[in-house]
Amino acid sequence: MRLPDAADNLVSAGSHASTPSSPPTQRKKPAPLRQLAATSARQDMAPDDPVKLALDTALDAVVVMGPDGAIAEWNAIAEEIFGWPRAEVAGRQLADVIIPARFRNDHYAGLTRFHATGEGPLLRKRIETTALRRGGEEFPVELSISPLVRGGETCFVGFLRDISERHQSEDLLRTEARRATLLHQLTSFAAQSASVEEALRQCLAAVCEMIGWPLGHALLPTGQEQGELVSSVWHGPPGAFAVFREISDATRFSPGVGLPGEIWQKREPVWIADVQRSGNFPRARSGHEIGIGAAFGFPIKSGDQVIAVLEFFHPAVREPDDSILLTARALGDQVGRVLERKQDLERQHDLLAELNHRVKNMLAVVVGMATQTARTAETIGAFQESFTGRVMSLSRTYSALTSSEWHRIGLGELLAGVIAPYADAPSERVSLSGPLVALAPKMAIALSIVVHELATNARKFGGLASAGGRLDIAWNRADTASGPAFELIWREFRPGVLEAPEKTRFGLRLVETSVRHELRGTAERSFEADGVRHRFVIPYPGN
Amino acid sequence: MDRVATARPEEISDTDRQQERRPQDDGRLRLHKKRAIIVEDELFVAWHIESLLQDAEVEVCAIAANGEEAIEKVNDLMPDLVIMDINLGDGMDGVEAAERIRELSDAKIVFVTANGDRKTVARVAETVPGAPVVAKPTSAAILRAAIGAPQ
Repeated sequence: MRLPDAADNLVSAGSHASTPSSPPTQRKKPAPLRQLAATSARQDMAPDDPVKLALDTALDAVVVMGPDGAIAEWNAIAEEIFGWPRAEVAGRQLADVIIPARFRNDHYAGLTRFHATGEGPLLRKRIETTALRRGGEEFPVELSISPLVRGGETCFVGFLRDISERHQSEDLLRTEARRATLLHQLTSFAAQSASVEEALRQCLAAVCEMIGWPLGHALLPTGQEQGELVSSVWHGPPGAFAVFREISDATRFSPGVGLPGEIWQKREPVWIADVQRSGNFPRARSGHEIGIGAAFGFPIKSGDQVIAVLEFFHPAVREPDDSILLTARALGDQVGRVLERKQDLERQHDLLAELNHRVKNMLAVVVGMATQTARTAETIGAFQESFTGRVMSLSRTYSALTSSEWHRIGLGELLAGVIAPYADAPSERVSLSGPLVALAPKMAIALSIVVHELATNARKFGGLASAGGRLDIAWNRADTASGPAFELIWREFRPGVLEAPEKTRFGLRLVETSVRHELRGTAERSFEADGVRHRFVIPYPGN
Repeated sequence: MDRVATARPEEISDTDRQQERRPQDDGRLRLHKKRAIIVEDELFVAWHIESLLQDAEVEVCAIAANGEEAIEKVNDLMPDLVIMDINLGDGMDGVEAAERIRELSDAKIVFVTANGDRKTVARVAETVPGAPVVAKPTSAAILRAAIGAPQ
């Protein structure tokens, strides 16, 4: 609401005019109130006049306007807030002094209407409007106008209060509230979003809206120590800033390099008022017009770790804004905590997916074992024995791998574990010798299937079949032209030699095909006078 | 199980199988059986799929353990069908291999994988449109349906 509206709507003053209660006075007799209207402002009241005292001790500006629109009275607070001493304004048109020029016509129209019709609906109400200071500055005021009738003439008493500060703090509160809401919204958006990427997208959109900048960009580190920041998601009008976006997407930022690198290294917000003048904004030096003036960004942190870096761009140069920087800092920490939980959940989800994958894969292997065992077994009893043996062996290897947290297990450990169930007094009958060869899980599983087949054959027909038999297993590094490898010699000794039994055919086929197919190695077999000998050369990647 | 399975009908090794001639090359007229390559690094699984295919009157002409080998064998043997695992250890995975195979052959590609998650299925749909994805472990009926063999 504006002052002229109020003037425009002055109410009929035909009603009462309240008489302020006169303060107890030891001074001269009070001037009758009607004098106010009659007294021209040029004729000063006596300094101890109670009305003047009331005016001058009032906490609000009090301005009295005569029927002709001229200033009749003007108290000390009015002097203070409008910047005009009473002497300089008394008798001047009120409109010229405190009403912004664009509202003056309305003011006079309202005054004329009041005199003609006695109408003024906004009288005796508290309204907010805009007034003018001496220097030309406009400011918000709270205003109430009371008509005062004496001797057929109406004056208007206006009480005004400068509410600029209140407005400023209201604005500030509103901004604070908006930011608090934003922070809260973002936190819950981040918590509800399906992925970290989605949460980042929400963050960019919210911050762009809050600060009124058109373009936002999120980058993710590839690692904490020697990693780089790579582009993740953007927020901005489709098609706009295409050149800049392309350059950014193609750039990887090391710690300290460029705006993202600097934010990452400092772990706090960074503001560049003008990227063209910045010493650390390489994307401005691509030789292309990028259409960017100011840039600002902040880290999303969890504890000391930077989870992501967000950067924002404005086409014009912009000086740093402390309140944005402050909000950004809080936002980065808050969202960081949520994202960290999110990343934990994603990791958990990945683990479950991996577990599901392994279980399904293992079941597929078990189904394969069952069908292949069934094709070769001659009796149900034989099927049960072979199948259970194969599954149990696989199960022991899984246990060993779980103990090693699915990293690597030693070849010696694997051999001992698989052979143990098939050798009585294994320490006397089985010798294992070789250097440490650490097997990755996939290799360990494939090799355990091979060793299991060899061990069951040894138990049934070979070195572990009868008392006096023996099994020597030795391995060594045997790198080949195509890379690192190890050689495994499996030598069975059995008193009273037999020829190679027919029944070992499926087992041996499994052994040799597995070595070639799954382990990408070679297999040789020979039957010596005192027992069978296998030699395998198996590539050993990553060592 | 009340019935004991018979021994493997044939003991052809992988290498033997590669040396088999393609039907149109052997000079004799006969009903053209569908020919398949299995790409699967786990031998037991590969053999199981091989049995299921044979039961469905599909001839398995090779088993490959990784993507590179699969491409090579498709190029050499020009099968009608490729049964493809996705997780093939180090190197290219089954989806990448299938994408390359599409460029050099019209063979129908069927994925049989333990990675049945939505992400993988979406990736297959985008990279190798139209290729069915069958979850591991699989059964005769499901595999027959996926390869379009009579049930």
